[in-house]
Amino acid sequence: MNSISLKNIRYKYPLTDHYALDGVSFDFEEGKFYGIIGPNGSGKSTICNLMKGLIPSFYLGDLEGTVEVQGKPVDEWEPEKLCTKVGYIFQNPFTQISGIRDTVFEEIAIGLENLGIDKEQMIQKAEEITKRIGIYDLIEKNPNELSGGQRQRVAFASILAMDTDIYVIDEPTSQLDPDGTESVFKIIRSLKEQKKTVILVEHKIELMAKYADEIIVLKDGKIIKSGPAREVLSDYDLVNKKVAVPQTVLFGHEMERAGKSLGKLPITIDEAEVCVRERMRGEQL
Amino acid sequence: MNSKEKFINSFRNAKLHGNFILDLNPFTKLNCAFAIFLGAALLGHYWTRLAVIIICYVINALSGKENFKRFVKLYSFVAFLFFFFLIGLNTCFRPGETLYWEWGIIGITKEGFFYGLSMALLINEICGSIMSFYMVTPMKDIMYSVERLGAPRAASYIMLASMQSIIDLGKSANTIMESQSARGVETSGNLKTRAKAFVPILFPLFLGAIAGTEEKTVAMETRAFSANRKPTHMYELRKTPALEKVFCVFLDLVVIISVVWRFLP
Repeated sequence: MNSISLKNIRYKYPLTDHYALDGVSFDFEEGKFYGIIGPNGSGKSTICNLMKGLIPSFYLGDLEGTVEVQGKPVDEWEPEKLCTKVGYIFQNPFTQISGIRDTVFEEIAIGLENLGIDKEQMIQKAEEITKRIGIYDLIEKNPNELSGGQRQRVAFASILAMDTDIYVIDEPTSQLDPDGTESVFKIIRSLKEQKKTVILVEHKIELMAKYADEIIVLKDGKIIKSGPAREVLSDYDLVNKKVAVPQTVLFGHEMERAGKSLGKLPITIDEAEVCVRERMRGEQL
Repeated sequence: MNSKEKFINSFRNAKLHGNFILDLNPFTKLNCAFAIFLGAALLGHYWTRLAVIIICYVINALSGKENFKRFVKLYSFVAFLFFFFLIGLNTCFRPGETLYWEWGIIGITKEGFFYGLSMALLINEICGSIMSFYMVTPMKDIMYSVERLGAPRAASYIMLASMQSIIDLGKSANTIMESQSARGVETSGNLKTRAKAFVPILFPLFLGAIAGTEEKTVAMETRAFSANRKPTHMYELRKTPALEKVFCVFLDLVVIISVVWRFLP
């Protein structure tokens, strides 16, 4: 079964004539890691809001087409049920903290409280999640006094505690330093290992190349390319369409143009290192 | 058991602050605050009003050193202002039969002094009671109790989040002011200079806060805030002991009887 299906989606925000999404159809399969890339204003965050059901219930506007979560139209899900299916984490670590709890431990339990989970279960879940994510040392701290990276990890923990099947993650590292980015990607990596469906919007294309199974490229509200990460990111045509590709792909193309082909186009730094080593070894031979 | 385990374990039982006053049920405290200040206000004696002010200091002292320090710092200032202005204005401008000194429109009268004193004591006892209630009752205890009574979670969220928003706005304002200062804008000095630096940041400050509200709503939505289930609580207060209830009823009766007796012909 597909985790999420977008069927002929056309959507424009209120008071605009421009379609933020225009004829988008895509099936997100269960247990896969999807990366969504594209220039600013291409509709990436709008897709996230659709999948979480925030469009059209929270953000009004004109919506055509249907969004299905596990085979059921998103507007037919009860809010609490949908929250246990689709988890949503977004970019701003400061606004994702509720501001109504004194400790990280209580902050993580808010979603569980809203779902009416038994107290003992809540305690066990929150303890397990904090240990898993590596924020156990922070449990007594005030979430409103944490750094951006720590807050983002608390936001992840709050959603992970709800044990959803699908995670929609919208630019989680855009406001974080390298250490914060690394810790957030560690969490995302663990979700992939647990075979959860992950839909990640991210500008850090090198990290996308490393983790994503499939990549979807959006531009002007349309999907212009999708498929396995290697196939999509190797397409040099994306550069002409002003879509970022990994530096290693550009490097590979430059090498090819200079008549010193690396054999295959590396999409990650590790691959590039291997390609360059092999090529240097070949030249020495 | 290490400190983290102890902390987690503390949620398994009702939360206790380890202080007799702080551990009273928020409604007990609210009841006491209202009974005391209403009683003293209606009885109308200087001494009962003064007694309420002293009781406020005592209650805060019993609730802990830190609380007492905060209360003294805040309340003493407010109380002084009310005494100073109410007694001063009434003494100088309120007409009366016993005139001590007169100059132009100013006339110092005995009646004015006592009326001002009575007003100042009344307002200070009301302020003291309300302030004491908030000093010895954490906001989340109040919200928990209100929710248990059946108030919607949104109401308690708005209250608690508003308190935090004030702190956040202060922090944001400081950050912007520091950035401005780093860019060479004069942010310190006399009142005019400070105002000149501060007023222009108000617009981006509030605009940012409004934008943040939308994201915060989305964040809460993702945590099932609009779920139609009865929420549970990780943080729970103990059940109100019978003695506390009896004390409340007793206090209310004493106040009612005193007031009725006072107004009986």
